[in-house]
Amino acid sequence: MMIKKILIANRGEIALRIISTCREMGIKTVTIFTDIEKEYPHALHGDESFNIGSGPLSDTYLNQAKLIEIAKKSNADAIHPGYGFLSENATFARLVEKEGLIFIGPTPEHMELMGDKIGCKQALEKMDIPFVPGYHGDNQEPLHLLAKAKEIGFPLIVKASAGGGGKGMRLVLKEEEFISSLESAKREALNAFGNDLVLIEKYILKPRHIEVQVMGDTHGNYLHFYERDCSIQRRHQKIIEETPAPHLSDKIRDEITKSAASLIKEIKYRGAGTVEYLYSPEDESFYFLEMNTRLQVEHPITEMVTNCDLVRIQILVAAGKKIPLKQSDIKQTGHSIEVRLYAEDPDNEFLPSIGKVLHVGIPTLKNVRLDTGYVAGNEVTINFDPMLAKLISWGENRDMARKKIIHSLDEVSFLGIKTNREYLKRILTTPEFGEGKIFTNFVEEFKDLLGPRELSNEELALSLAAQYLSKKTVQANSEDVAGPWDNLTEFRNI
Amino acid sequence: MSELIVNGQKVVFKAHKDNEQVSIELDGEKYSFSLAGSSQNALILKEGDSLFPVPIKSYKNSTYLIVGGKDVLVKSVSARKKKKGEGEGHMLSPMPGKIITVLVKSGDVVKKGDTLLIMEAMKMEHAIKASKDGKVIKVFFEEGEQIEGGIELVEMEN
Repeated sequence: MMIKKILIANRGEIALRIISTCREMGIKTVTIFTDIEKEYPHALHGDESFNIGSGPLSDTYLNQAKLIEIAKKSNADAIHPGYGFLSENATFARLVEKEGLIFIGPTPEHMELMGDKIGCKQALEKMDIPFVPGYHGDNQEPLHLLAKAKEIGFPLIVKASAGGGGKGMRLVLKEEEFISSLESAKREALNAFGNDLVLIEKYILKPRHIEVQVMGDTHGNYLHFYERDCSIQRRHQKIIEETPAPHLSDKIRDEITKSAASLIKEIKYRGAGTVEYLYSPEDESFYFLEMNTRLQVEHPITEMVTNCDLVRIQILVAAGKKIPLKQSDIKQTGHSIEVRLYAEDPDNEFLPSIGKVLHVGIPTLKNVRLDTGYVAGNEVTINFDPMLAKLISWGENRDMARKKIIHSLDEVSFLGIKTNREYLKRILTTPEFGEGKIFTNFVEEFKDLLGPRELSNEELALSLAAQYLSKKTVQANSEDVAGPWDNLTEFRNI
Repeated sequence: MSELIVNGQKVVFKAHKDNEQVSIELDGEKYSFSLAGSSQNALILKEGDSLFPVPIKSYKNSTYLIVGGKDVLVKSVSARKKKKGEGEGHMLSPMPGKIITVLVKSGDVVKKGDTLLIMEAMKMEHAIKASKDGKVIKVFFEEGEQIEGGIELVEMEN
């Protein structure tokens, strides 16, 4: 039995991504869209489309009953939830299966397991999955905490359990400083939160976010598709991802990918997933952060280096088929980088921007891929996630992939709205990024290098000249009286 | 002399256009460009032997370009939208968002601190209040409209 028609319960670029694979597989697609998205590509490029009205997300893309109704009306066999929205909603996954439809994703039980931080930790610790060394216990006796601190090792952070915003936090570099830092943290915590309970965690210098793409089927096959490095983030939101992870030894790559594959094998995980780790370059140690039970935004870079179609494998697995690959078939070739284009103004506190997309642009270099849900003429509004597009490059090595993205960012202009297009280029052109010296606090640490660049006088002149040479220009306020310059008829044609 | 606003700054310059050639005099320097090619979405300018592709689109009194890899926004000086609150009596939107409720209309007399309208932005509601006593001359937007940041919402008379 193969799936013949899929309802895509999502929008924008991921909806188009799924349509693309469905076309290759001969599977019909049904898409949904809200009133303001009538002219968005995802509303127009499926085989059938349904208007889900307007209003808050709970009435539209998160409206479980409406989605089921549309699936039944269109005779879809399966629902693909994309990412975000209902992709990790166990209630929805259960409802879909109860209604006799196939949910393209993991089981509701695995969604619940990985969604519960405490339960998940307990289950995983039994499997020898490493967690960031720390002490979160009730015994707050200073000598007990010191003993725990010695076990964890230095440097470490003492944090207020009730806290946030950096209050009640102390970085302790050496054992000798522990007791005084502890007392100071507790005083501050008591003052700020009325509660001086603390926890201790190992401090990782320049940590990196490394995640592993995994896939399991219902025939006992549990594979990994290697790792991705998603260290470049802003306020915990990923903006640049790449694979392979730079400066990662083969030994560690082997350990981290095997750790992820054995995790899904142990729990008998079905479908696509990503196991996220925090990696400490100083001592080459890695620690489990969380597992995402869905296809991720950055999956294209894995596809580029392994030459696999992850959406296709998701569909095969959901239809009860075997993953059509052995672990030994999966190899990383070359290097891939993805940048996320957002409708925001990096030079004005990253406030979200709106407006009409006047031109998107097409990357012309070989092996550069643009995944976007917008075309010229679409209005960008505040109703949805501000991510406009993903620009992905593949090169024989990291520097070539990097150069391709930098060039392509000038081709994919997204004229008409403020975006982080130029900001991304600033990051990619820093010497540190060029050398692969990335870590999660990168954009904060190099803030001074990432500010706006002034236009040179020549660039300014070029901008002005373009006004005059383009058909639709902005009117300049010129004085009425013609001066000698305006009467000049002879000038050099260079 | 001509004036345009480039990336929020007023620029004063001289321009002379002759067919497909333009020369610009800026800060005492002269620059000459010719149009080597154009498409719907870009121009290719030439300065000497150097080529400069310039993606460019115009819409509603604004021209959007990429020059030297940088985003450039050009507007005419007379454009109604003012980026920073210049002058008195202008209530500006603090950020992009949507107008939820309009509480006043043309001719209403208000006191400093009265809420004129409510907008939603970044998943929160913001009350736009009168910065001084006065009379409402015009409310520029209706309930339900989406607006950009730094846009004049209400015009007031002292």
